[in-house]
Amino acid sequence: MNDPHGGLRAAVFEILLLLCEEDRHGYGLMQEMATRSAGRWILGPGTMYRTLKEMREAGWIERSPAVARAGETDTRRRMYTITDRGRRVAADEATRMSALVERARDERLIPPAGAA
Amino acid sequence: MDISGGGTGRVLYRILLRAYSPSFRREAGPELLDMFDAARAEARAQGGVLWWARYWARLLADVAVTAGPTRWRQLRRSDRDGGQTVDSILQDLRYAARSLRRSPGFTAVAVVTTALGIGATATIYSVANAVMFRSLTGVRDSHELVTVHATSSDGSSFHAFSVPNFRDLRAGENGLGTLAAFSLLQTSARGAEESEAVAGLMVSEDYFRVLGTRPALGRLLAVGDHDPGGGPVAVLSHGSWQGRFAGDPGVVGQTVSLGGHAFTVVGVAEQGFTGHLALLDIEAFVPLAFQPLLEGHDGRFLDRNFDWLELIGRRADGVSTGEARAALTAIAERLAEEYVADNRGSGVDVRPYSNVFAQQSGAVGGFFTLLLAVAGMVLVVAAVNVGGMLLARGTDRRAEMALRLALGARRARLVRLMLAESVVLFLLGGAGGVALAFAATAVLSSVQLPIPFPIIFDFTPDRRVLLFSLGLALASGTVFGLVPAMGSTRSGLRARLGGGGRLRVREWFVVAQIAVSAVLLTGAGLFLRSLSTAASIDVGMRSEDVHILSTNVGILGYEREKGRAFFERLLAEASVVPGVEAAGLVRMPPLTFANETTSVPLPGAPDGRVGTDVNRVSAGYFNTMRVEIVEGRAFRDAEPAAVVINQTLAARLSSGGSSIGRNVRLGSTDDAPTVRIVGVARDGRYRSLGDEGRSMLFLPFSGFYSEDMSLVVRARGDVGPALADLVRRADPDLPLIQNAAYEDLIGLSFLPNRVAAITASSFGLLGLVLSAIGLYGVLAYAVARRTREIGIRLALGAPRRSVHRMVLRGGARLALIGMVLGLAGALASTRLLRGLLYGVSPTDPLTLTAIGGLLGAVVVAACVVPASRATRTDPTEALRHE
Repeated sequence: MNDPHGGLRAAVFEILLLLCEEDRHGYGLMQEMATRSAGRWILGPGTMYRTLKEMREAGWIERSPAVARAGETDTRRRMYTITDRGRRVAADEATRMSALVERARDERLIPPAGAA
Repeated sequence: MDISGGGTGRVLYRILLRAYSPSFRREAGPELLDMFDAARAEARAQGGVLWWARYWARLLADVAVTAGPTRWRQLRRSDRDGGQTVDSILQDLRYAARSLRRSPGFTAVAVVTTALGIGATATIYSVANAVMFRSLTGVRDSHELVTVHATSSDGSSFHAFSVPNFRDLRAGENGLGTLAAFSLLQTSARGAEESEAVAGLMVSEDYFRVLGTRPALGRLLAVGDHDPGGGPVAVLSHGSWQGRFAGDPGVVGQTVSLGGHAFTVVGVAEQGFTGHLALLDIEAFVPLAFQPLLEGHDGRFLDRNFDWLELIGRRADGVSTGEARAALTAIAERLAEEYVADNRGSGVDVRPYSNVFAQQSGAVGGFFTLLLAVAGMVLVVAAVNVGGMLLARGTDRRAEMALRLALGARRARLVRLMLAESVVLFLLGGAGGVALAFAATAVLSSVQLPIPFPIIFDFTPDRRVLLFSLGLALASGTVFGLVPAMGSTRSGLRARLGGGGRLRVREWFVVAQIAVSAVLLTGAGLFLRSLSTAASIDVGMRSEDVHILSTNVGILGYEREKGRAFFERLLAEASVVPGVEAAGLVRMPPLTFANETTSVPLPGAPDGRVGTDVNRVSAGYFNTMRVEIVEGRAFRDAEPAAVVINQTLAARLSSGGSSIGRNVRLGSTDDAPTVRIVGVARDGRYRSLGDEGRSMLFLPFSGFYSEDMSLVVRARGDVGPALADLVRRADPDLPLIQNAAYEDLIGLSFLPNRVAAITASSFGLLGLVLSAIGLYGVLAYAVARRTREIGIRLALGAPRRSVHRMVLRGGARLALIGMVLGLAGALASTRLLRGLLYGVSPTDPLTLTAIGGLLGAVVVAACVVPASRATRTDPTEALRHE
């Protein structure tokens, strides 16, 4: 789940952040990621599922047991919830990234904070 | 059929899901389907050209990447349970390679056949990919880009904007981060010897910022550059810098001559960037502010009614295309209220950016869909061929398979063994196909089209094409290898004996082959017929022996009087060039897609007016192009307010009576000129071959000057050099936009049709050859298998003729079923063709009959040879055969 440069894969980090906001099912995650990136980031369902499964196996997120919902014929939506460990991983990643951003500011690649 | 989504889309995705291992499917299937729905809804909201094609390509890639591991895990699991699957797959591949090496003839034919099919498909896909999908160098995050078009009160879109309207749209709350305007510029650059026509782009302040382009040298245009007082500046394309300045690193600060004016080079755009439109080779980017200098008009910048700018913008963060459209529409509505005279009824339309001109992207998409379908059919024929070969090979190995089964091999294992062979074959063929595609696209890339803009074709296959070909090879290897593999490992009595009246698998292969060939050939036949019909369409003029020379004195900023004098002198001098029989001037040469329109009063019409095409011509035009005047007379050059209309317009203006002598006012503005109709010309085709029943009004050049005119002369022999000399002597800076035989120029009008015809007929021929080989192979094989039976029949006294008949009857039965299915398929697919056919019905009986006859002949030939060989065999020899 890590990218070759030592951080989290962008998709994994994004999912963790989305689950920090609220619990979501796969459909919601897909939709939210696509909307926020203006359609660019359409992960395929297979890739999304695999990513979620890896994250589950790492203990970063949990999946609710299958529940048949009224009105839905053959679809079973399962909710994903972030675990405490998942939160810690996301926080570590955010810290790492902000340290990188600080360095970029020091090198004057981007304007200092607050200057927009 | 809605293959985008809804029921059908879900069904397709369900089928795709079968690529995953069963246990994974059980566990994840419902969630995957659910996420598929979400992705589809989102992709659809993005819209765009062929969005579903891209969407399904993404889905396919997603399944291809993620399904493999689940299958692999399944295999590993079964290994742990005592199987030896993983090792055995490698073993299978080694075995397949060995066995293919042992029959080099078979392997070579199969690989070449597959290579042809995959090569054809990959070539077309490369071209479609280059034109439509490949992102252009120097255009960043293109999914955020949108093009903005004006709409008019009649609901039509893709109109341009005036400068004041552009500025108001840009200044308002428009939902866009940035909005830029551009206008194509046809100009000249002074080379070492003579001026040559180059394409440029006049751009507003934010053009490069919208696209995200970077400089390779110096800088891109800055706000200060857009002040006309600051002196003309230009940014060059990388190619132009290399070509005109030999890559001189000190080019910044030097000048380049555009339209005879010195422009200071401030920078060079990054390598590979030639503007945001595919195929066009833009060499220079100049600020819009220098339009008057380059094109000689003035007052365009204040006139709200003068629409000449195309817009491109980048959406602000989190703003969807729909929201941007709503925001821009609100501004446009406000402008329409505020400036009633200029903006009444006009609105805006916002579309996702595409490489091709937005107004053409639909047509281009349909065109490529058609070509891809044709190429896909060649691939199917090839794959069916190889499938048939594998089937025959499998039948020969029945004994071997039966032995292996008897010794305890599982059938699944044997199927995999044979599948490995076909996959290896198709992969080899795929590699050959990619090589073919590289060669074919190199040839296509070097094609020069007779159009007045420099264009670049680069169809070289990229990673996307390679993936596409790999996918094709794997998929067709699996599909067309599976059937023979299943067939030849079937054990038991039923398989040995075969069914009585029902077709066997092998025979279905023949039927499929004939059916697909029939579809292909019907398409090819229709295109060829349509080409010959198009050549005989009455276009209302005679273009043979006509030479055309086009120029634009606006490029050098000629004043009206100077321009008029130039063209009149050119016409007079051209008339006396040896060999010239007649000469005239024309603004919009027919069949070159060019057009200009106005409106004339028509009582009873909505608004009381009717629109018509107009053309500005000199009096000599009618005689030069042999445009027949059927009523009244042509105007004379000394009559600046006399016009000629065509029959269609005449019929519209005067129901029954004559329109000669009538006065009409052109356009609806207060200063609109009034002209008098003096003649009626026979109807013709004007913009393109396809437009029938278009009204036309010919204006005299003497009263309706234009700075971009073409000289047309009817002459024997090549007068091109002599005419070019006349222009050069008058003004060496003036570029020749066109100097060619008229027939070459209008070749472009036939181009889509011709490309489709060439593709369809060459692919049709390829399909025919492939299926003839396949048919022959399969039928010959079937006959050879029956040598013993035939020997017995002959030995028992059957006449040779009856044996012949028996073989032929077998072939004819298959051919008949195949052709019925094929023609049904051809009829079903004609909806795709309709737009590209001229004067031929998609169900043209002549074509259908001819194709039936041709295929019948192939089938007979494929049966006769093996039949006579079988009957020539010595019965005693045949009896020993097994």
